[in-house]
Amino acid sequence: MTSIIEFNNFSWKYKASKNLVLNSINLTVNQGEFIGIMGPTGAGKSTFCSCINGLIPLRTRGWIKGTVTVLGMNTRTAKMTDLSTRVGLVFQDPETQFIMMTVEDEIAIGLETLNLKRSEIKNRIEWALNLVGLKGFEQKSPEELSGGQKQRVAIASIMAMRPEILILDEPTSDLDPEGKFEVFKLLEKIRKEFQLTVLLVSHETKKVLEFCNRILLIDEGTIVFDGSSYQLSEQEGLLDKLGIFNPKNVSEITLPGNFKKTFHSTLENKPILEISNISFTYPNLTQALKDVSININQGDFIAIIGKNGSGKTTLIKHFNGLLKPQIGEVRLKNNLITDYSISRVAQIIGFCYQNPDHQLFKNTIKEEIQFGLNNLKTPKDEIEVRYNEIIDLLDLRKFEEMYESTFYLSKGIRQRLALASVLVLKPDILIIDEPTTGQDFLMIKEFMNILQDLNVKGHTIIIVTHNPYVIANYSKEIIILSEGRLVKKISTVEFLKNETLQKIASFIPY
Amino acid sequence: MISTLSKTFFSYIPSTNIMAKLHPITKISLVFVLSIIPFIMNNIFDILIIFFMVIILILLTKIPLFSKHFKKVIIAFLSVNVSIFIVWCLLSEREGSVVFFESTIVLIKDKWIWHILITETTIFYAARISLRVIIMFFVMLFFFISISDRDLIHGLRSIKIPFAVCLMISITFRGLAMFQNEYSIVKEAMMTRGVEFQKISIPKKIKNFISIFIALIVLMFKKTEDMSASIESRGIPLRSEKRTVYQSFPFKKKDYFITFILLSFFAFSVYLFLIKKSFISLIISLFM
Repeated sequence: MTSIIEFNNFSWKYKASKNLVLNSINLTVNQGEFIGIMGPTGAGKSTFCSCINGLIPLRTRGWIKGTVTVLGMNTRTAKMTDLSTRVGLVFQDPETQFIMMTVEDEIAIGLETLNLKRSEIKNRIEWALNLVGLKGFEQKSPEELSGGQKQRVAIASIMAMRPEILILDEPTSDLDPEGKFEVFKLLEKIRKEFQLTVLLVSHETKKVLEFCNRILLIDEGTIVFDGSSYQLSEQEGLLDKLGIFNPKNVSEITLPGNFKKTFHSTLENKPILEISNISFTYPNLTQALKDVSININQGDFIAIIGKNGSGKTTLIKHFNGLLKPQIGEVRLKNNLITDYSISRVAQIIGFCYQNPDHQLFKNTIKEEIQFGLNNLKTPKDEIEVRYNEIIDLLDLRKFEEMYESTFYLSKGIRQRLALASVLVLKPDILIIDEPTTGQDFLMIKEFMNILQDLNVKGHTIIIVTHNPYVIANYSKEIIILSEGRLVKKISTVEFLKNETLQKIASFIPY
Repeated sequence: MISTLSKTFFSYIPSTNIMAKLHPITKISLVFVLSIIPFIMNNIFDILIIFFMVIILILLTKIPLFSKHFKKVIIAFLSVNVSIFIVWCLLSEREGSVVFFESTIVLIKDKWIWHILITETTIFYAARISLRVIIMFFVMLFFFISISDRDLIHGLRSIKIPFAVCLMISITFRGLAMFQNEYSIVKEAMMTRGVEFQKISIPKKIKNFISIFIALIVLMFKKTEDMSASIESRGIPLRSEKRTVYQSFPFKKKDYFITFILLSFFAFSVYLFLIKKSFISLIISLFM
């Protein structure tokens, strides 16, 4: 086999970082390999990818030692265009990869760089869209595509350039389980068909083990494991030690019919939220909700699941009045949600966004946590008491001392801060949109344990998620949505036994 | 295709009418000439000619002015315009035959300080300003409805505007769409923390908007960084290396013709402005 990537005692440190982000990496990658890269958040996985397509060191400032040779080119001396046209890199957020106004233009812009004939560009666009199953989407704009479709366009725009190496940095984190499976299948197909070398960064341990023929585990900038999935299975406890999701540990509880875990019972069996026959259509005429009726009881821990675009986020935005139903009504504690003021709803229902950056508005942890209380004109001494309570509950005090600004906090800590800033208002109901996206297993577990503790204390928890581990281990009940309709509200135990409902919800158990 | 601009103003309406088939650069020339000329014309009848030309343009573009969506905006716009007209009439005093005079004597330091004096010249000036604003409004309406952001970029590329400039414009449009999307999410997120955006004082409103922008700056900074990495990683060079232009937007005969007429008209208007004459006087002198 021909070796096409060689790391030779390679170390890298960003200009602004104190420690080495990659430390003495020695690695040889052969043509046609499908390599899965896993590791905890901040381990250096994305930096590793950027070193292969030349973004490091050609476009990033830092300290470097050793060499990386890709397709015979030394990345220190090669031209960026030469490297990047032969090494394709797909990023985690497909939104930021779109620079043109239509799918066709997006794929064409890379091909124009190769100076191909117009007819050849046209053929390649057709071919690439066929490959990712998006034929007929040529004239669609980014705003018209779902997260999964955007990611497939990103892959198509890279594949059209016919790279010899394809690197994907967590390309499936925004997708539902079915979408994730499709991407993995697509990668397998492309790799076999074009003898492509694929390097994939992912937190999807089960799928990485199933599809990739070589696994790299990176921790603190060092490769701590390099081998096959079989060899990895022999390394007892390695995944757990690194805080990476280990399918072995949960297969028993998430396989249909094997569900054993029991939860504490709901505190009171009285509805706190009553949703009656609501329908909602967006101005672009997409009917997001169709005649949905649900009751949510106090003390519930509910997971709302369904395929991408099934109406999950639209539904939860009705719970706290961010969206008003065009038909039907929402009642919170027996009163119409429309009768409440914004500040009153904020005191009863807390809402956490998928991306914590959307809800952090202040410069320091203290200002951020106190922001909501100040808005509600809470007395100063009360603010101080609540602030101290919450900062200790979510273990944020050390970060307040460590960092001057919230800007420097890691994503996991920012998410915890976002939760703290909502919890400080002492809401009865807590709604969280996709609490697990792009986080490593350890972070997910930590965050979900906090939610579970809150639930035990009486808070009603509603989460929107695709994560089977979270669904099976934390939620008591499940609301399944499909194409804007409520399919069923069912107990988690029953759901895990029902394969038909799992299929509708695009739920793939580990 | 949905235009990115559509969310900020009137939406681009895909169409096959005669105006839609023009090259984007021809449409931009139309917008440029028709919105600038009224400001170098002093004679109200000259401006009226431009006004009728703009109306013809709107009719040819088949903009559904009487649809529910447009009606609201047009009524709002015309109300503002009428207010401008009235305020101008009330506050500006010009010499000329008096149309209306009313005064109330309020003595402050031996002077009476309030009166309304409307002359024919005042009305003439106020009408001229209103008409210019109306023309500007309809020309902008034509711009947003007939040119999609995509057409604009391909149009610019087809007249050999450097690729880096076109890419920058494209990214700006994408950025606008992203910014708008992020803005509404952040605003919602603030509402979930009890922030009111209505029924509050203006200073408080400003304070709240500053908080939104802090979050937006962080978000947009991260997104810009990712976007730039994405451009680099696809080997898209910003320097003028040889590259294919995939989408061709040829400048057709009718485009050359219309652009020529427009530029000639513009040049002639500037000439008349310099010699202080008007179209109407020229036409009258031709027939007299």
